[in-house]
Amino acid sequence: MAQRNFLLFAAVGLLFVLTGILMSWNVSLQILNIGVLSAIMALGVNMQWGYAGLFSTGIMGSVALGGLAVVLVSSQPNPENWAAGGPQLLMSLALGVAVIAAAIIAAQKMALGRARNFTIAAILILGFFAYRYFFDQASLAIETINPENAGNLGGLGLPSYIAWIVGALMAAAAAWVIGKTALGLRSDYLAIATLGIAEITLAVMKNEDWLARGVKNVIKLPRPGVPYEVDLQQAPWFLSFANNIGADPITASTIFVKLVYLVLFGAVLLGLIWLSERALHSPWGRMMRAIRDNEDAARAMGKNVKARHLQIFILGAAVVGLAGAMLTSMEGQLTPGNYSPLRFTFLIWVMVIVGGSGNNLGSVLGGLLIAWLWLIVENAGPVIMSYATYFLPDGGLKSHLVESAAQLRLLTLGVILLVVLRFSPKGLIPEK
Amino acid sequence: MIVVEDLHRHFGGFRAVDGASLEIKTGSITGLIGPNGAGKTTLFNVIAGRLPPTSGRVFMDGEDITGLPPHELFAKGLLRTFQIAHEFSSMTVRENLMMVPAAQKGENLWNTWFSRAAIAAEEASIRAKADEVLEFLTITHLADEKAGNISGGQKKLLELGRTMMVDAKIVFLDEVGAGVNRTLLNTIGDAIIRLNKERGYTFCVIEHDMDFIGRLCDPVICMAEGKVLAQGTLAQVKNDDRVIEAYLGTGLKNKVKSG
Repeated sequence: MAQRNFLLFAAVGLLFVLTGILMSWNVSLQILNIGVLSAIMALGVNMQWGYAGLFSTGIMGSVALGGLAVVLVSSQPNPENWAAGGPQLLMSLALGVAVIAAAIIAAQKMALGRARNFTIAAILILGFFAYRYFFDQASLAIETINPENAGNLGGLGLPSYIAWIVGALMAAAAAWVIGKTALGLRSDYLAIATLGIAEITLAVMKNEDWLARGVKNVIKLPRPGVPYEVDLQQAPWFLSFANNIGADPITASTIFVKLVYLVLFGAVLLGLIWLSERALHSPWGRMMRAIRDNEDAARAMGKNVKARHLQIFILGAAVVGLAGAMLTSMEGQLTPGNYSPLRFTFLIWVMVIVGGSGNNLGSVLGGLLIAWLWLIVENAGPVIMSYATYFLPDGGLKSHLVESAAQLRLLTLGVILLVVLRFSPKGLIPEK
Repeated sequence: MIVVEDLHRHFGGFRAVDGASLEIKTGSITGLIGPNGAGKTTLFNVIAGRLPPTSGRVFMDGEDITGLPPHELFAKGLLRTFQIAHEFSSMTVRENLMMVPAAQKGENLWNTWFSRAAIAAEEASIRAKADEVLEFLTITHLADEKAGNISGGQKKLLELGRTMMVDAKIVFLDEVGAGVNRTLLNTIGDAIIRLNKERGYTFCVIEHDMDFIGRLCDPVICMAEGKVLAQGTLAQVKNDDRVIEAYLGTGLKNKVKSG
């Protein structure tokens, strides 16, 4: 078994080596870094699904919240926008919370009947308009100042590592809210609820410009202590280093930066694998497996299934949020338009299923393999197709085939999923 | 002692339990019999917190336990087994037993990362306990088998074994003998009697096998159509007119009486 796993990982490693030799090491490392981040996301999903059988389709929401955290924590503050409407905006948000709290209190304290219904409705309707009145004023004030470059409140200017932790915490907080309301739902209803909530999260991020500029994107987010290529190309130590290994300084700098990211992300991945393997091979893991096998019996044997589901749901979301924040830090920009359920929910699911749900190593393998396929097919597809169609006369059909080859990624993933499920239904590295 | 007062559990218009009142005395092995659909399992499910009652109360040693969730009842020493065995199929038989003890140190995530020594010590004692239970039930040879692969009767034994991993006060056994062969059924019966005598477990047993009930249970309670019909020794209950009618219908009752 261990030998088979080693071979599988070696095979995936070979894919990256071949990419490095045949295309470029730059591309190979870029894909590998995204692969490592995908593997972390897959680990998080595997916690929810593999350990506990919770089917969440809101993974994209956790990724997006992680990305948002990077803007809110590590980007520089915009003092003018703050002065224009920051305090009033916070006040209006507090008002909104107070309105909801008042409605809850009314619902609890008043006797059932028409008076209660009217009171609750009045509080909510009047409260909503009062909240929107202050909120709209404030957000408009913020968004009209310097909209080309800012137009938002900006962040706190803190280090990226703090942003990563905040990203995990934000995703965890969202998961807590979802878990409290939706975890009682049966599997398919939980899937629909999480799908919807992820879309709502994204809609807020796209439309609330004061928060993170919406679809205008936030660029130039700071790197997590990783040097910039332009700085390296001027640093004497790096130039002499590049000279010593006989490499072009520009290429060397891009590769160097990606290697630093790889070490950083790889360390996080290894740390998370260590933590989850320890947890899984312990009485905690045994309890989770028991709950997944048979909830009724686990309850009858004294386990608080609801609390455990909530715990693992939050942990899984936090891991995904962490990876989402790391991804945004690496890309250096937040682009809400790029968050799609296909890329950040279902692709992660394919990783978990292909790798082998319930198995941490399987998720990592699936993450690396599927991320590689996803990114490589887009580049390699047209090349392969042009070889495959070289005998065809130039013209409509040939150019059509070559042009559409970039879309082959969906087909490829479908084929891979089917093949793996046919020949290894429990994934490439099945749960023991 | 368990006291059930005027318990109702309706499913829409269907009254599965329809005003049942009964007592289970501490230290007894109380049998619960009745034709199929009498409401025995629903009664168990309500007492054990799996279903909320429509109305009525359940008391345990004077304390109102109506509607408490199963894991809180477990903490109070009220355990149950299932009519259809609910084993943890992907886990070994030994693991099925080892998961039972409450509030294990190793169930805390922080400890799984940073207090491995304490967990190892605790695991050793839980494992020893599990092996004891396996020996008591004469299934030591199955310890490392996946629970999903053992026979139906062995699963029933395993369920009984799970209740032995903690100091239970009262155990509700739902058709512990269904689909179990004679020899194994005797083993289960012996185990129940020993647990009752040696450890002071109180049992409430649903069972259709009257020989089994007669050997173990006193008193016996008969239910039909969601109500308690009769209570007493098995001989008394068997000869009760209402019981015979519930099992056989009115027409046959007279034939049985005369013949």
